[in-house]
Amino acid sequence: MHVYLPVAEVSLDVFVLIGLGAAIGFLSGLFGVGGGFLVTPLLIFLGVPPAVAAATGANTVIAPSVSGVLSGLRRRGVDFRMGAILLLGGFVGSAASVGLFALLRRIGQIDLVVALSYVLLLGTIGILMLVESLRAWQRRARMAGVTRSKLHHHMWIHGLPLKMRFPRSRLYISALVPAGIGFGVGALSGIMGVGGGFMLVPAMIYVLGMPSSVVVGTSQFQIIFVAANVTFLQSYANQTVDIVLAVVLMIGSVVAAPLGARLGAKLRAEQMRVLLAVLVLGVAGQLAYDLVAPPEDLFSIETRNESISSSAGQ
Amino acid sequence: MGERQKQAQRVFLVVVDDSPELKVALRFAARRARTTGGRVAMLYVTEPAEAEWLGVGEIMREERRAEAEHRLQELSAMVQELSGDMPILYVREGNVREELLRLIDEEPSISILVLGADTGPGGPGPLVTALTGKFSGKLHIPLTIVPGSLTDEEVDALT
Repeated sequence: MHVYLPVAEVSLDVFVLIGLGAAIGFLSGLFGVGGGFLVTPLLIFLGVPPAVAAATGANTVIAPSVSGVLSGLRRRGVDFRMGAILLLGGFVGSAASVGLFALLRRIGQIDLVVALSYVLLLGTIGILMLVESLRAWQRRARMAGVTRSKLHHHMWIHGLPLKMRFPRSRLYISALVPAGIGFGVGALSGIMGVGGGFMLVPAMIYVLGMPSSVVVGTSQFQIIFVAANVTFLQSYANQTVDIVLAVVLMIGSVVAAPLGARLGAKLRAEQMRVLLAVLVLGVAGQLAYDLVAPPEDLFSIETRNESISSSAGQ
Repeated sequence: MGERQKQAQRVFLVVVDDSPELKVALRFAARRARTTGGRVAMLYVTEPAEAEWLGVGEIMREERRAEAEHRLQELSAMVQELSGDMPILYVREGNVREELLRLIDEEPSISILVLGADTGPGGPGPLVTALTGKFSGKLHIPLTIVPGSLTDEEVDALT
């Protein structure tokens, strides 16, 4: 059953899109930090223009994050104060990057930038994943650098002003640090349409020094609002959010993703994660190849997109 | 463990959680152990790591393990005082019900499971509900349910 996506200007099979939701849920289950970073590239492969894919991808992480926060609440696993500071940074960061998105779109470079940043991001994630899961697979002893020795390590970060108390996280640190992290992840979210949990969670542990029991819930709390903000700003400033695509993906992420997540959590074996790392690297490679390979049809979407966007701008 | 030893030492297993009725169940088990020449065992099931990414999972497991050990240490002191013997401690990772049933299967020395029941309107608690309902067939040992509303004196009078 094909459905026409009015903003993306392509027709896609509904079940493929819902299946995409399930696959993303599966990924989230395997790693527990969200799999939103694969939504956008997979949409690009299906023929959705990168700008639309990135802008629409952000809202797919909202539904799983809401259910994550709800279950985190039951276990007292959300630090709202920390979440609010992260959110503050996230709002500013995402607004700035949506502005950058608009600028790049005006000069016609947005598709290139989205694809390039995905090559970079997925390449990095894939390599890190591969190294980590291979190491776990071989059951080699963890290196001292990976496990943190002390909860509160003194770093230059702790000299910053605006110190605040975070009782849930048992921290007394400068609010600038979580705000800065929120900004960075929000900026990423605006350009690439990712939730950013895969960056936020390690940053909360290693940079902020939060107890691990609150990191996942707090990062999901922040992601809900940043992703909503990105979706809103993108549709307002750039008109690149495809509502039909967003609704279908949302259905996929609500209906199919929890099933995938349950399966992924059950199968959380090192071998699976090695395979997944290879998949992520494969996606990065394909994106990189598409960037340099001569297109089959030299007069393709880009020309049409240009005319649409310029007429929309008038 | 041999048949004779099993008879010689009754092991009362208590599942550690955050509920207020835990203390009641533990008191009951410890006092029963003392009067019948048995021992108390405690099971603490830690939640599996939600994330497996950049060593985060490892840190989660480590911190949860440390938390479990800290909690068990506190409760052990109480059990020791009441029963006069050090309890046997088990720390597992995963789903509480699954790990509990697995442990009972693996450890034939465990002879009785003691659970505290919430006497409030919300029901007795998930473990009691599961083991007296849908999963009652999976439990191979007797189950004692201690109402969480009992006071220390009432428990002492019963044991």
